[in-house]
Amino acid sequence: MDFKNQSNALIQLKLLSDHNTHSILIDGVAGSGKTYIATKYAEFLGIADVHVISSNVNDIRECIESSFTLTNKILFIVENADLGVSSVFSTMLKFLEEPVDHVYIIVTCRNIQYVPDTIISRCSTVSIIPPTDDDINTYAKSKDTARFDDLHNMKLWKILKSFSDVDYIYSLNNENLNYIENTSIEWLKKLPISNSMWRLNHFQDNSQLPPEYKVRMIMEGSKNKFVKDICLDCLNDLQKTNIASHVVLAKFAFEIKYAVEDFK
Amino acid sequence: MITIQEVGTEILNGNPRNFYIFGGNEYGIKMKYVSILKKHYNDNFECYDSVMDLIHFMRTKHFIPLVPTLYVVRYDDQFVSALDDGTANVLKNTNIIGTIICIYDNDKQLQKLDKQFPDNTVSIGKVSDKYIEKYLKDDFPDIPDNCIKIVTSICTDYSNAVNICNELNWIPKIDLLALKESDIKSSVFIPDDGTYSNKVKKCIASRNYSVIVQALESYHTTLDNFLYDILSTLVELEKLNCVKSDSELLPYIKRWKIPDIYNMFQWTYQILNEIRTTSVSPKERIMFLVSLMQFSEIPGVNELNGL
Repeated sequence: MDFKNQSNALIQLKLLSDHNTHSILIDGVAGSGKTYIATKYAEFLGIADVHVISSNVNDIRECIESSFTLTNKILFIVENADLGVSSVFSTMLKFLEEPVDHVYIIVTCRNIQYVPDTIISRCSTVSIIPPTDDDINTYAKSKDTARFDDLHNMKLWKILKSFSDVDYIYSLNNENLNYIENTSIEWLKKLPISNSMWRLNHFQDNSQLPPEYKVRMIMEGSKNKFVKDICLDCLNDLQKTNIASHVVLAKFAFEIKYAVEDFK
Repeated sequence: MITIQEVGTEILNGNPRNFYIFGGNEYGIKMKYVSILKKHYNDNFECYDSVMDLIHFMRTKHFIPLVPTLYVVRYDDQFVSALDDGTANVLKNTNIIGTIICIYDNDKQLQKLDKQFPDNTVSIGKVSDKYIEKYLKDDFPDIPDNCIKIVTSICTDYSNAVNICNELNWIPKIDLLALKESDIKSSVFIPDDGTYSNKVKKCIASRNYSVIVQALESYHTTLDNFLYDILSTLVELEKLNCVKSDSELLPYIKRWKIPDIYNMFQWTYQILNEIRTTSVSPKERIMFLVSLMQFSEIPGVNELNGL
């Protein structure tokens, strides 16, 4: 399946595979298909052995150590390195500098600002832009056409920004879909902050709801520029992950409740 | 052997001897005397591992004259086992500049030391409740008398009483006045993370500079968590402003108007962000936050940044 947002990145990866590049950094927002195009790189190189690992030191070390005992070509994909601790980078550094002949490594990140220069300088960087609306629709249809027909006219469809958003929305039952769909900001003015925080990242049955969906719905539903700015700040802070999400949501609720005079 | 009353009088009157041997099991009183003597010698204080090393140091000629100092030697068993008339005479004939305190807690060792130094040895055992109460009142002037009485009645010895008072000392005075014996017992003897966190929250909600600083000084996890405690206190205060419910922070709600809660939250959030992304000193930034709480109206982030 071809997506507009990935086309340039795939051309770049093809060129890199022609030059047998061992270390690549793929940068792109969450759910833009970084891991997917990394597996495409394996196809370009004819590698059957692909390992996707999370950015934790033990997993990376284990993979590096095991790679020395293998003789076949292997591709490691280290996901979202920018979310890992700094020792993740130092663990990878030597490996990126002196790659073993049969080992290839692709590091993905959501925000290149949080990747140290030492890593960037040792990799070829490929950037992938966020998926377009058409990309999201194509992906959603390919996953489940009937579900797409049911959902794509809902307000919440406009807040889907990535392929993983589609996967998540498809996984929800109707009750939870309606809970997101009917988000408004009036209740944020009435409830204590502690209750608002809870409502922003929980469904009515108390199961967890990723916090960004309600914030995006509020942003989508408001015409007030100030509210939109508050929502954007909140979404940026949630992405940064250096502050716990419940604190970011508390700040958001405080600002909507006390800083916005007329929020309609 | 000299009595504890004699030693106490000498030390409290600022007229200490040059050499003391403290025995007995009341560690709190020993430390109280040491702290008084530290002040007496203007914080000129040194610890030695060996009495004989210290004596050797005293007998060495110094180009710059020694400053009167408090020297403390703890549990030097070798000195006791090697002690004879010769060693004792060397010590007695040494010109001690300041005061040497040797601390022991073994009764047999104390008996041997008492034979050689009867004018310097004191056994500091359990003191009466009357003295404990008197000492506590001196040491903790901010703790109300009713609490001191309760602490005296439940403590096992003076050092235990000091530990309890240290903990009580950073509870706001308004709450201390209402404390009952069972409250003190439960707060001191039943450790509970929730209770601890609530105490910190109460200190923050009090907006009392010295109380918050004391809580900060004795904070037992990372300072990041102190910021999270501030944030959760503010969220709880905001809730109490909306809905009056049963909460330990209820007595402090009048000290917090909504704009204060809002501005304080914004400041704390900004500083948490700074600490996570730059190399600023967390303690300095938290002290800045605490100082902001002293304003009758806490300034907004933009208000102060614009100055």
